[in-house]
Amino acid sequence: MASIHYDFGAADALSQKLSQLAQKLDWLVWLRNSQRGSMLGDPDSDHWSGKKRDQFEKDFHREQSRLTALSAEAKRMKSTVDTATENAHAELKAEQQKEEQERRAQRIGPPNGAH
Amino acid sequence: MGTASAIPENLYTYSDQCTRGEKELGDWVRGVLTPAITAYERGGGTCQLPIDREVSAAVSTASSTDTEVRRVGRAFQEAGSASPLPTVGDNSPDNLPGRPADGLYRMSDGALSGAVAHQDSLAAGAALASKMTKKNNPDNVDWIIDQLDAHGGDGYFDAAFFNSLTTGQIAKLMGRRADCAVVGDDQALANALATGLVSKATVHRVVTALSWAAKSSYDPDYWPVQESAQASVLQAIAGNRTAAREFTDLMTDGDLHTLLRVTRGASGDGKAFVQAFNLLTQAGITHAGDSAGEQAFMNRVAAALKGENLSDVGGAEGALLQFVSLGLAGMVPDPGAGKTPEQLHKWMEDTSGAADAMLSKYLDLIIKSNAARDKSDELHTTILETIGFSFVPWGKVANTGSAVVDNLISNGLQSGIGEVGGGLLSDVANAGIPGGDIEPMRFASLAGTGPVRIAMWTQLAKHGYLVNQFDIPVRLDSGDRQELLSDMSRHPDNYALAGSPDSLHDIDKIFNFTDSESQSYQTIEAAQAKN
Repeated sequence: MASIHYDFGAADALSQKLSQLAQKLDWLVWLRNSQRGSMLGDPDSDHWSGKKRDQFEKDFHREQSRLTALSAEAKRMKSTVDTATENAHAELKAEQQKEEQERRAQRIGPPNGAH
Repeated sequence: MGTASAIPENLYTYSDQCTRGEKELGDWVRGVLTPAITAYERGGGTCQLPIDREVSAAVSTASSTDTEVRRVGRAFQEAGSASPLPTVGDNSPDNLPGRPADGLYRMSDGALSGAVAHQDSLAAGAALASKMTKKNNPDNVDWIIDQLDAHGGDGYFDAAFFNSLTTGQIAKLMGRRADCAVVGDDQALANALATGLVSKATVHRVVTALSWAAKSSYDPDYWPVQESAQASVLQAIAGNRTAAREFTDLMTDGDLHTLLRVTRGASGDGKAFVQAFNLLTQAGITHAGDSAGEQAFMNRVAAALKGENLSDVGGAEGALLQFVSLGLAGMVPDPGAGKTPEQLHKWMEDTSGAADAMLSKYLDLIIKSNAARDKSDELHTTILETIGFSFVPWGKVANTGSAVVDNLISNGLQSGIGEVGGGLLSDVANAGIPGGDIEPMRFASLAGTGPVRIAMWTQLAKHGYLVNQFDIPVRLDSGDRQELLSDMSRHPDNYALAGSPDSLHDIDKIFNFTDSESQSYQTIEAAQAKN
């Protein structure tokens, strides 16, 4: 029996969730951008202007950058999880092959002349 | 201070859409992503970065920002002024102040910050207003007043409360508590104004309600207000200089004209008019240090009074004199440091000329009111009482005068008096006042230029042009004087005050000015003889 400890089901689930996370973050970035453009207008427009708007703009851009960076991070993490899963698959396969070889060796028995 | 503008409905839409998205993502991270990461790690996987926590924090921060946008929108709606604002006299119901024709509101950046920071108080004040009757229900009004008293001192609560009232509701409050609270001893309206969050529309409604003490109206919201309510309301606002300035700034020119017309009183006692001018005087004092602002303010009041005749308004002349005298003093500009005697002389001429020009806009009004009442002695007394005890709020004046410039200053000030006096004489001649017993020079020397001279000295002393000549008494028992002393201790270089407070002269001595001047001249002459 292979001794590798890796939950492939959980790994696949997380990979899928990280993919969804990236999409959701991209969507939130898009939502904020589009709402800002359509509802708030330019920072010097009558839609909303003044010091509070200026502060909002600074915060908004910093936050959008952070959300975008996290989306990229989610994609990297998905790749990492996928790679780990491939490695675990490979390790498992190698271990299974080794076990198979050992079982075959046991079935054939000891070489001639051995006591 | 910059001006901010916004369309609150747009801010609400942005905020609601984005915070909904952020909540959904936050919930998904907690309910789906975090369990998936936990399961993965329990299953032997390793996550280098706690991305669920990172995402939660970032989304939470974004949500805070976007929630704040709604608070900003609400602050605009609760405390901003709807735009466009109409001119008073435009009776179109679709164009009344407070009705946001295009959903746009404006307010100062400072007021907006205050409104956002005190949103709970604002919401509570607006909530109380929503419980006030629009019908004749004295019990309800009494209950409202009790609630308002319970929040005494919370100007933000008061601001949102008043901003949410109709003109009729404001009139009902005035009618119920004409002699005391709401706009009297609990200072609710003054407190509200001092926050800077009362809207222009609200001030227009207050002025309109005040006008209902003078005449009835076909306004369906009309509610009778007693004449005594006018004086009470205006006295409460005048008692808070910041509130007075705010009220004055927020009045349209039409509002100001209305206020000065409707406060004269049917009985002619002029109490409300005097309080209106006290309010304007207090507002004018806040312009001290801003020569151009003071001049603009005085021009605005002069325009509101143009063509008026105040001869039947009791106390008008004293109130006007106080306002004009302090206003002229506030107009004196800073001469700047390091000026030559010639430049200082030019500065004095310009200052005197500006004072003369401004004085001419008020002179006819003052003289006519006094001529009609023919109480020149009373006028003189009024000057002493009303001006003497309230001048120099900015009073950085000292016992000073350098030998080099003393003569110049004395001559320059005399020249200033002469110029103003010449203007006065000319105006009096043109006005054709019967009787000929008016003494314009008395006004010019005592009321017109006394505070101006003091203000000139103040400016000159600031730059060390005056050292040890003139003794200018300074009262030390009011808040203003305490502020003065406090400022002196913080900025000693701005002052050239000699002697301890105990050595300062009695206030009455300021009016023995001729003697003081004589003494000073003698000192100068002695000094010159010595040199």
